[in-house]
Amino acid sequence: MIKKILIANRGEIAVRVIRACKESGIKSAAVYSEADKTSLHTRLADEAYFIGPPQSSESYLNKEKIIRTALEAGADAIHPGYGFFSENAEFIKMVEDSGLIFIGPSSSSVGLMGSKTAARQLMSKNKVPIVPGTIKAVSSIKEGIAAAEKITFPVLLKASSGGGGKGMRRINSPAEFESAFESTQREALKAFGDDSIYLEKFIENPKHIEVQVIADQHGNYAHLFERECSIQRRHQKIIEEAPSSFIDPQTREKITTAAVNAAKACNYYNAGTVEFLMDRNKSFYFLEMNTRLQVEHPVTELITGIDLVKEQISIAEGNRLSFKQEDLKISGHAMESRIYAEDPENDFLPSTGRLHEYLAPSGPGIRVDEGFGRGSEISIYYDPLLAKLVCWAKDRDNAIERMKRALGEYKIFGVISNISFLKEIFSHPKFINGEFDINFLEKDFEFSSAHDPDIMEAVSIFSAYLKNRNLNAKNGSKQKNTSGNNWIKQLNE
Amino acid sequence: MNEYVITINDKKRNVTISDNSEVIIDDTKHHYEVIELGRNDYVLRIDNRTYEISAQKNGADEYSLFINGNAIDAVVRTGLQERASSLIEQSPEFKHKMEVKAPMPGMILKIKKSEGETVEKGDSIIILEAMKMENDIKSPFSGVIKEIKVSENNPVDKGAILFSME
Repeated sequence: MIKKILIANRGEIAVRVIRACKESGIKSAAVYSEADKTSLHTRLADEAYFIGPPQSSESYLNKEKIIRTALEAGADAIHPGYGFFSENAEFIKMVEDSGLIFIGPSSSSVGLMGSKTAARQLMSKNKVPIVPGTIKAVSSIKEGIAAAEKITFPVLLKASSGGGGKGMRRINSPAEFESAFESTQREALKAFGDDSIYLEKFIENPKHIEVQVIADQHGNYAHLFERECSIQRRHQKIIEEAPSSFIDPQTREKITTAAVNAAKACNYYNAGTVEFLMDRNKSFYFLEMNTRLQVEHPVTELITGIDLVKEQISIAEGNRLSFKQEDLKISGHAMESRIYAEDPENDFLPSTGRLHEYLAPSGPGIRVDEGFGRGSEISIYYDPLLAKLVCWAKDRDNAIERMKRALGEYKIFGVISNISFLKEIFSHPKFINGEFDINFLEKDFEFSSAHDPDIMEAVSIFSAYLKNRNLNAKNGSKQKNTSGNNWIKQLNE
Repeated sequence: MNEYVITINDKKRNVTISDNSEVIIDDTKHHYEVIELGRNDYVLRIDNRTYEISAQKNGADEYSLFINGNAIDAVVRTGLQERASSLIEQSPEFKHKMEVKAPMPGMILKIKKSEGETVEKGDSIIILEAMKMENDIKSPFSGVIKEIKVSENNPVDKGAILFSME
């Protein structure tokens, strides 16, 4: 029985895990850096431990500190969240060796799927279609060009130890190969500590479809259907939904079977996601497996009714899956918007500052997973995800209306957010019709950022009102008018 | 009734406002009401429209407002201040100058242009590393780089002057 969990993460995912702990009667121990003193996860956990300076390398990414803190706190288990150490086989091994339970897969499954080339080799042996390309790292430019010509240009160079859309480069012809090969190697070495790269056929305008899989330590496997995550900006997901409006039942059967085969092939247990690219003909190809809980897991939870984090904890305790595949059904449609602290009118530059005002939407079918509240400091040290606004409705059209309604109610003042950008995507005809692929935002979408004339009028009137009141107060205070002094104090805050 | 000029994104509007709920904008008279909720939060009614506003003072004449999901900055001057301000801008000694500040704290990765160099609006001048990403600080208008106030591989605070232009 797990009695206390140390959550080795921060922000909204730390809050998510804490909530699952509270609902399961498990004590939660949070960790926080200097920059996270005002974050929500430190206030919600039963215990909170300070782990050092804001730089991740000295706090959240310090393996020894995290494990030592877990042991000192008397935790039985560590939940890694996503990012940070969640897919670090070395860290997982350290946790296993220290006698703590790691809430996730085994270090060997993670190691196997962490190398993209090894994963491709494994998939091709296990009835999981892969993107045509090399299954070993490319050792020379000559070998690379020959392989590229075999699978035909355009091709994509990818880092074997990469992921998350980083360390990739498109090559259109043999002439481009040499310099592209060398720069990709340099980038891969810098970002992932490994310069080995492999080749894949570049698939034109694919959709990104992924399948949630889960397994217990007794050999029971299941899938929780698919998610569509094609709305991406620079390979970063912005909007996700479940189920995919593009997939018919036959394709769903094929792709979920392939995903479960992928999990079985690496002896997986706990929650994971198998990512695929799907072309216009509904042919799909294995991209990579994420051996952890994903950011967008809420949309799956909402259409199936399964709490994935509670299930993760239960599997780690050694229990069997709490459900059978035949019990699972898709109910309604769920969508998620990632609320980022970035400025869509300024090339999405990250925005930092203090949240003077923060009020998340609510009402029917709305779920908000957030890591911050009023007064929280949003700093430069971590990624800019503020919260996930998730909605559920009986079908996709209703989910879109609900999401637009909820985005309109969201109040974030103190940092700039991408909410206006999100609102426009949900109003775009191609998004509404499901006619989009991973290049939608770059090809078909133009952010207008124009302000409603009524709003501009209201701003003008209100600014004049404030200035007028300020000037009256100054004149009033000369006559020792006490109510005037209160106005000045308020404006100076 | 007091007269003000409101500037939002280079667009100017005249607003005449009284204490007792009358306001004239774009030659149209409206009825207005403001309810203070506390902590810089307000409810504004204009005729039958209602808005929720959070306001922060940004300097002597500037306010940052968050209104019904939109973040907008507005500069407010009295009629007199506005006339004085445009006289200064029209004088021959007034040069179109600008200092570009760091939008957030971070590390200067690369300085791509030099002092005295002519640049176009939108040219990348400095690469600032922050929040695990490289951010391009671009030229706000076409002109000449006057002074570069930072150096590579040094950290900067939010608001630090990066470079000035003419």
